Amino acid sequence: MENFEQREEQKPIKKKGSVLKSFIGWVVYVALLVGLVVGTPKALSYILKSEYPMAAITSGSMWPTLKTGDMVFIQGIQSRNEFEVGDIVVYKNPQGFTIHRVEEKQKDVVITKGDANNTLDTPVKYEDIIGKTVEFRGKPFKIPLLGNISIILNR
Amino acid sequence: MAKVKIVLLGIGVVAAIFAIVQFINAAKYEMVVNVVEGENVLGLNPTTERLDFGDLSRNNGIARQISIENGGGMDIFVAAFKFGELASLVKLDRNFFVLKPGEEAQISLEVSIPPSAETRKYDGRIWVFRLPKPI
Repeated sequence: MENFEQREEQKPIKKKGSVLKSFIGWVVYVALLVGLVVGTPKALSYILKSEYPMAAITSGSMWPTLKTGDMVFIQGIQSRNEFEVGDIVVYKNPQGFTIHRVEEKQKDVVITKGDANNTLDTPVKYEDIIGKTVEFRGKPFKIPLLGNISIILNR
Repeated sequence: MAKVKIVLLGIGVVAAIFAIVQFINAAKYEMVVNVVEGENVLGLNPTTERLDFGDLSRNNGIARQISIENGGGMDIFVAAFKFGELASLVKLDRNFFVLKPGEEAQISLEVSIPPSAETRKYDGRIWVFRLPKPI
């Protein structure tokens, strides 16, 4: 009988503790998640020296190197010597941003083209080029499908 | 707490059974295209077992169709998903739509071969799900 009463007394204390523990767990989890979502782009922006450190591929113009839905990382470019012919660059245009390969570097402009396109792009001014894709073993470093989240959110 | 766990487990089991049934009922097609050298090369293989786009040279395209019929008594929601290497080259003219009882619809799949394609076979898959439309 004594044992039973003791157990009855302990029960509410245990419940309170587990609820508090669970609540703290959730708070820590949400804080970590928010920190990751907000902090990752900022950290990448600092490391890659780029205002736009990540980009989602929204078309098949660079197929098969980059596919729709891929997420790529963009290294900032401060001068015209920081990229070469063959690099994949990101440039601003009236429609937004384009990620294409450098075909030729001229005195005032850069000639670019999508790998899957038949025609060259309109020449791009050097100041409109904001970055180039981060490479790993000679290929653009990409995370397949992750860009779809950004594509869906921007619809 | 135990009751909540049982309810969540029950929901999970029902959702899993629903997903398995839909997966089994989905129409699954294999897609294949053979990219060849040359210009304006087009050779269609009209097989019914799979969506064979035949031989195609770069800068060429061809379309094939899938028919879907709603033979049941309630609205169905049609959703198609592409996978594999060929998925990026295939465009659907329609997706995520409702079919009323007795209605029939066609989904057109158009494959376009870009100049950056290699001369070889590319394959992929398309799964067409027919889900009961929520009321």
